[in-house]
Amino acid sequence: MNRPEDALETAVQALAKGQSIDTALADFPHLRAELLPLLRAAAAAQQEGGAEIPVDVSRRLRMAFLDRAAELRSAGVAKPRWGMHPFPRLAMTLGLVLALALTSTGLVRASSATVPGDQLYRVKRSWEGLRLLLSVQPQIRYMLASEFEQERLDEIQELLAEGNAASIGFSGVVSLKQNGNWLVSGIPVAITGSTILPATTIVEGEPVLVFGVTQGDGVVVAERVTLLPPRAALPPLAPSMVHDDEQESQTEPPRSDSALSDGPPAYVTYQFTGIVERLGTNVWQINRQRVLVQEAAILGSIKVGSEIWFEGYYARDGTFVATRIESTTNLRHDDGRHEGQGSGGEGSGSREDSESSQDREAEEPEADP
Amino acid sequence: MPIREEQQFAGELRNLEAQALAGVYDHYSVAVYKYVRYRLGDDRMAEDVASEVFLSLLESLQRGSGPRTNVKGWLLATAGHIVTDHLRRAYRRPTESLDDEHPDAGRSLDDEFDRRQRSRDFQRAYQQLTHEQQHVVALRFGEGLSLEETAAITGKNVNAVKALQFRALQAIQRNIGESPHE
Repeated sequence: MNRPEDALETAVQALAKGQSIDTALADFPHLRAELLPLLRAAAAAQQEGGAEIPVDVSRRLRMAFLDRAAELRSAGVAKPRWGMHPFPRLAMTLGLVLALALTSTGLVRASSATVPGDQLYRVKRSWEGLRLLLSVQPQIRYMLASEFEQERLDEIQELLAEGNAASIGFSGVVSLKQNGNWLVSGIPVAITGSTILPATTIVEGEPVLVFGVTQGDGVVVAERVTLLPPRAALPPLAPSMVHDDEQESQTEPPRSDSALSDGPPAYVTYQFTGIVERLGTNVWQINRQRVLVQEAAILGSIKVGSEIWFEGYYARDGTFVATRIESTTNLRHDDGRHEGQGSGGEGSGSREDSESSQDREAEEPEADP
Repeated sequence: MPIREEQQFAGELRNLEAQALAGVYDHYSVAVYKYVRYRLGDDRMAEDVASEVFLSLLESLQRGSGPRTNVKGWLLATAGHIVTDHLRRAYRRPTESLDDEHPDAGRSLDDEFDRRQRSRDFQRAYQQLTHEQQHVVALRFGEGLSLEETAAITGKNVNAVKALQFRALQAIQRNIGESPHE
């Protein structure tokens, strides 16, 4: 290695590993006089690094970034994606569906019960992607997306129950944090020293995206956890194990381990948006999940198919208890009312509206999604 | 990216999906801010420019361009362009933000004074480098990127980066040597 540039690079790498300047130059005695001042400059350059992003700055940047993204998304709704005219796009996708239906219906059906790690799992995910692509109406697309997120939770539940290891990713809400043990939408998640976490601290009640590996002991070891924006579409509340009866659930939360279920009271409020799929007397189905509504203050006209904003808490048995439900149409008239609401306050449980769920029951027939 | 394929992720980004974008921000904001702060040496300007980098990502995605695979590389390369534009507009105005730093409680007053003086000398020397040299030094020493990663971001080959690095460190040493405090 005769070129000074090459020798400098080797010495710089040694310096980056924590070696002293003298040690880094030990292999290049003939170039020492030339490289010594350069390596001192390199050491000074290294010392200037390491400025961390202040928490308040990070929050401001994050909010500006995601707000702008939301603006662009809403501005782009009317535009056909990829700049393609809607009719060619429709024709192309219909053709694709027809081709798929003729050639691979059996394959898709066979893949429907697969979980991550199975050979046909990619077929299942591709089919889901196609169904989303074909969903023209935003509301239907939203419901489908929620259904698929639910499917992710159920897959993980199955992997954990069978003790199989697989790489997974899912959205959920952090309902409990005890040291390195988290509960995210009913899934026990272990945070280790090598888990990549966002710069800002995640608190209970925040929606997150978890990437990790399922373990034989019924826990997901997280590789990376990222925060979802405060008003992201509702991630599933918990793995489905839906009881069709409308008695107040006293069941244990699915697969919550004992360390987690003995955690602090679950009276931390969470806010979501979602689509109402079924209206019952005391229990509604929102985004494929049961939500108790008898304590809820309900604002605005809500029927099956309505998009709603709702707030509530998790009871100890893992059931979500809504304390306030409001039609998003109603919210748009009063936009900004919920801006800046964070998670983690006391659940109010107050009844602010005289309209009861029974009243609406009379107006709206119960319907399956 | 252990679970989702890069292509799927890129597709989600192009659709401006909130989850994917939040993931990008959470994963790369520290690197972007660090880079920008290193090059500008000023907290306030670093915040403005880092914000511009992420907004630029959104605009690119909306146009159908933006990163295909290496998101971090794209962000840092874009940050490099934006910082350079910013410095050209600002005529390389020197900043004195280091004076506003709080003293490090773990150091004696003399040590702290020396540290700040060295930092100021380095900043002055660094600001006299060419934009290209600043870019390479910030990537290698501010971000701790490898030679290959730096080459990928700058669009140069490894030998060219080595040569740039060599000349940049020579210039820093020379400029520090010319500092009135030396």
